[in-house]
Amino acid sequence: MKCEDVQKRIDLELTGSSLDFDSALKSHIESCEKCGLYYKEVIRLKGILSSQSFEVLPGELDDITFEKIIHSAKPESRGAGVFESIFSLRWVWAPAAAVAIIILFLVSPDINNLENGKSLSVQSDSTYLGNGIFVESDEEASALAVSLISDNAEIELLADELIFGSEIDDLIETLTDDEFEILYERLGNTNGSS
Amino acid sequence: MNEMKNEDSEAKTGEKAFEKAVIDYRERIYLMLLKYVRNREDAKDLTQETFIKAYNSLGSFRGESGLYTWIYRIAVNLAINYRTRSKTSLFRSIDDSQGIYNGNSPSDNLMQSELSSGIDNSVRKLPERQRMVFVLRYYEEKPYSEIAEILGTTEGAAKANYHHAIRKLKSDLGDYLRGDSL
Repeated sequence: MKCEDVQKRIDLELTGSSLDFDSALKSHIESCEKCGLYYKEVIRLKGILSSQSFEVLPGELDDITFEKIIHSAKPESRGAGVFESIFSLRWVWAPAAAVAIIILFLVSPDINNLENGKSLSVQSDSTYLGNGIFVESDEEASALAVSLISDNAEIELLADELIFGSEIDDLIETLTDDEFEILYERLGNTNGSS
Repeated sequence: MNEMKNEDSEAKTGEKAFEKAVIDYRERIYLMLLKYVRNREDAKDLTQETFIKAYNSLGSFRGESGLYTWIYRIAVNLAINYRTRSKTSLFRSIDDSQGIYNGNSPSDNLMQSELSSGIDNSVRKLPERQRMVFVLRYYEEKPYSEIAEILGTTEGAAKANYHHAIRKLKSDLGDYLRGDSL
C-alpha cells in the first residue's frame, strides 16, 4: 500500500464524529512513521474543528415563518393554484414515478460515465470561473479556457467542447490531484486570485 | 362545484404541508448553511431565500425525492452561488453573536474565539464546491454517493474535492495543529 493512497484514505474517512479504518489501513498506519504522523495531524484537525459548535440561538429563527415566505413569494406562486398540481396530483403519482425511475436506472448505462468530463465550460457572466477563480470578461474567460486546453494534453482529452455560461468545475473535478494542483496554480496566477 | 371544493381542500392541505415543512426544516437548513457561510445573518437570509425559492418552485417538485431532500438541495445550490451580503460578515466569527457565558476563563474564551475565527476564515477560503463538499461530508456526515447526487457530480469528484479541502485546511490551520497558537 502506497503512503500517498493511505493518506488520501485517512482524509476521506474523516467526518465530524468518526475516523474509522479497515485492518489493512490500521496496520499500515501503525507500522509507517510518516503515515502515523499524518494520521495524528488529521486527528488534531478533527479536534480543532470539533471545538466549534453550531447552535440555533433562542428565538433566532422565529421570524422565518410561512406567512413571511408567502408574502415574499412571487404573486403567481401564492394561493391555491400551485398546490393543486403539487400536493394533490404529483404526490399521488410520486410512488409510481419513483418505481419507474428505479427501473430506468437499473436498465440504463452508467450515467456518471456518460457525463464525466465531457465538457469544459466557463461561467463568465457572473465573473465566477469555478473554484474561487474570477475573471472580468468573456474574452478573459475564453483565453483562460483555451490556454488550459492547449497547455495540457490530459485536459484536452477531457474537454470535448467549450461551452460558455456553465461551470468549469465539471472539468476540474475529473482531474487527478497533481493535475488539479497545476491547474489551480495556473488559474490563480493567471487571474491574480484564487 | 364539488370539484372546486376538492381543489380548495387539497390546496389548503398543501399549504399546511408547506407551513409544517418551514417549521420542521428551518433549523436543520439554517445550521447546514451556517456551517457553510459562517455568519448568522447571512445563514438566516439564505434560509429565508431557500424557502421562498422552494415555494416559488413548487411546480417543479415532482416528489421523486422527499420534500426535505428537495428543499435541502435548493439550500445547497443557493449557498454555492451566494456572495456575502456585508463586508463585515467576512470578519465576523459565528461565535461573535452568541455572547453566552460558557464558564471558561476570559483568556480561554479569547483563545477559543481566535481559534474559531481561524477556522471560519480557513473554511471560507475554500473554493465554493470544495467548501460545500467539506460541509456535507464532515459536518453533515453524508456518504459520498449522496453528496455527488446533491451536487450533480460524480462520487470520485466529491472525494477529490473533500481530499483537497482537508489538505488545505490542514495547511491553513497548521499553527493550531502544531500548537503554536494555542
